[in-house]
Amino acid sequence: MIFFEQIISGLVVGSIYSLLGLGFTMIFACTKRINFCHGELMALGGFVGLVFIEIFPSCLFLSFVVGPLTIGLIAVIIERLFLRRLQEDKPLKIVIATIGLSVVLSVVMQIIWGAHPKTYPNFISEKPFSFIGVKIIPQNLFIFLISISLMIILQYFFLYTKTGRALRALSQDRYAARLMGIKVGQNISLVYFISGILAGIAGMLITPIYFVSSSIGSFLGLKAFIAAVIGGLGSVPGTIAGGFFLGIVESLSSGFISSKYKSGISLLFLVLVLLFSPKGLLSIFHKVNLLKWRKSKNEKY
Amino acid sequence: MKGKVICLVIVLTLGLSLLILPGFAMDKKDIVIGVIGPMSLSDAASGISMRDGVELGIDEINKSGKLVGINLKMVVVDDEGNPTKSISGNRRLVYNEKAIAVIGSVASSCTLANMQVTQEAGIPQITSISSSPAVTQKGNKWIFRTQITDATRARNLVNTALDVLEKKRIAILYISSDYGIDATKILVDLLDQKGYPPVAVESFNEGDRDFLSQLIKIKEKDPDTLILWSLYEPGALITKQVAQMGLDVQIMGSGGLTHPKYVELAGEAANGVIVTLTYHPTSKEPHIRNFTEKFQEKYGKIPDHYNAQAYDAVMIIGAALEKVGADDPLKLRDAIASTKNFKGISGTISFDDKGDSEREEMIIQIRNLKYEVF
Repeated sequence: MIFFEQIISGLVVGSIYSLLGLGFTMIFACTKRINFCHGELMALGGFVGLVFIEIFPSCLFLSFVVGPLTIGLIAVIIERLFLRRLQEDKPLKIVIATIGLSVVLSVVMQIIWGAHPKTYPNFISEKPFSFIGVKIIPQNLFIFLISISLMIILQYFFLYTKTGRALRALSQDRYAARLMGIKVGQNISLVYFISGILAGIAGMLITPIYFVSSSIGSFLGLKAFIAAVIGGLGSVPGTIAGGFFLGIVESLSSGFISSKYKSGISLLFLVLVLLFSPKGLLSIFHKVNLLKWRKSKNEKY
Repeated sequence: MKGKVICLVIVLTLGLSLLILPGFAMDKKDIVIGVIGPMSLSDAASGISMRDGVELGIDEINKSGKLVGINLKMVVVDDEGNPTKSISGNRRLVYNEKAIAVIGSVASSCTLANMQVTQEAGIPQITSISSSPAVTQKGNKWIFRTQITDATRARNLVNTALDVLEKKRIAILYISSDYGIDATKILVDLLDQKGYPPVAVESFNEGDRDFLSQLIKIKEKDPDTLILWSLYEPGALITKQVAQMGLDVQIMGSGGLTHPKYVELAGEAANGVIVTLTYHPTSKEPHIRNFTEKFQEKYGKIPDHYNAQAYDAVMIIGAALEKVGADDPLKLRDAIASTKNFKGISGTISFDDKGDSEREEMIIQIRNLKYEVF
């Protein structure tokens, strides 16, 4: 029983890692750049959510729409003002620029909202219910369901909509995409907008359970980035899998070994994945197919 | 001509009065009590708490007239919580301001650094906030402490759990930093000695947000008490998650849980939590109530234990000055060191040979989101 309880607690943390990791993955998939201030955007999402909940205390739903949209807009502004100029340059420049921005954002948040963490009441009941003998907390289930549905929506968006296809074209060959009439700048702004919305939603979801502070962004952001790399940066299902994997590994290692080694064990997995399957955990499954595919490719030629 | 005479008379009277007035004041010698601590930057609130407590104490001593021929004066130096600045600040207090005694600093790292200055100069120093055991372990005979050490607090928590609440199955959850690791060793030793070894000892890392894994493990051992050695933010998260899990334990906690933000963050889940404190404003004892009222009158806010500990520090110095006067710092030190059963606001203080004052604390329970005497 304790094993299942640990797995479930891992799934909850995992769904937060996945939700955050999706932002990294979206931007990486479309621009081949990594946005390291994603974690800070999430923290900002929590704070902005706090402000909107104070403005519209009666209408939670409204703050849940306006909050993430605001973060989306902030992400677009950041992209338009700072990152667009660096887009064509070496990838390292954007990495350094976004690390710098993350520090600036956390300092700005500390100036506006202070150094102490903040929170607001849960929007769903805190009382756990029993499901086949395992206690589940509704708020956690809610986060889990939201991440899963966002993953499905994003996957659908990438695979089956025109804009999604344009974004995929962009990620494969920017020059060719431009020749095909795809507006590169606009589409990259769109990607940042969506990732900003994801960060905003994540921030608003975690504030009641983990509190929001100016320093939480770098901590959770890094974990989510590790999760995305383990699962496969750039692949939506990979990132989700990576997030859940990291959550469960952390939970099981602190449950059955010791919580002192939790971070060490999860980072060990990162190193192993980078060594043996640099494209992420999910690519192991692809590899099996890949062999077959190579064969058929060879046969063709 | 007439005008000139009048002018002369006025000038003479003024001049004479200028000569005479300080003469009256000269009856009382100004004696400086130095206060060193962070008055700006992130730790400023603690430093200001200390300063206010000292200020109130000095006012009362001067008003009481117990010190014959002495007028106490407070000089405050800001060390910004920085050990280097704390050393230079303490030099200023000792050598430039000629302080007879120093109170401070806040951060243990600062006190550890700046107490060497008072040791060299032979000036007694009392820290009212630094809690690291190392402060009094250096063999420095000039340093004293009105703050409770973590060792004392651990002992008080264990005694409260076993003797007052009559709990038997105790679990410990601590932060893996010096703060948590050192205290947990003491907690485990004490519980072993008392014959009730802890049923579970779990730790978490700084920055962790999710404690379900540890709590699931603790729940398996079926404890009746959870001692939480943590800072206020993870402490609040753990308290909430304990409530969410439906884990039925009495939570008791370290100093981190006495931070006012703790209750704000943990909300309803914090109700019932027990902590120990040296001072609480709702105390009914007359001398403590008297302090609380005077403090509120002067500063317009309810005092906290930092105010009380600083106030006690200056009152101990005042009592020592009353005994031996302000001429010889060594005599003053000996008088401070011989303080026994001093009825302070933050408990009954007796210094041991190291300069610490182990004492019982008040048991405080959070009820309706307020700290109240148990």
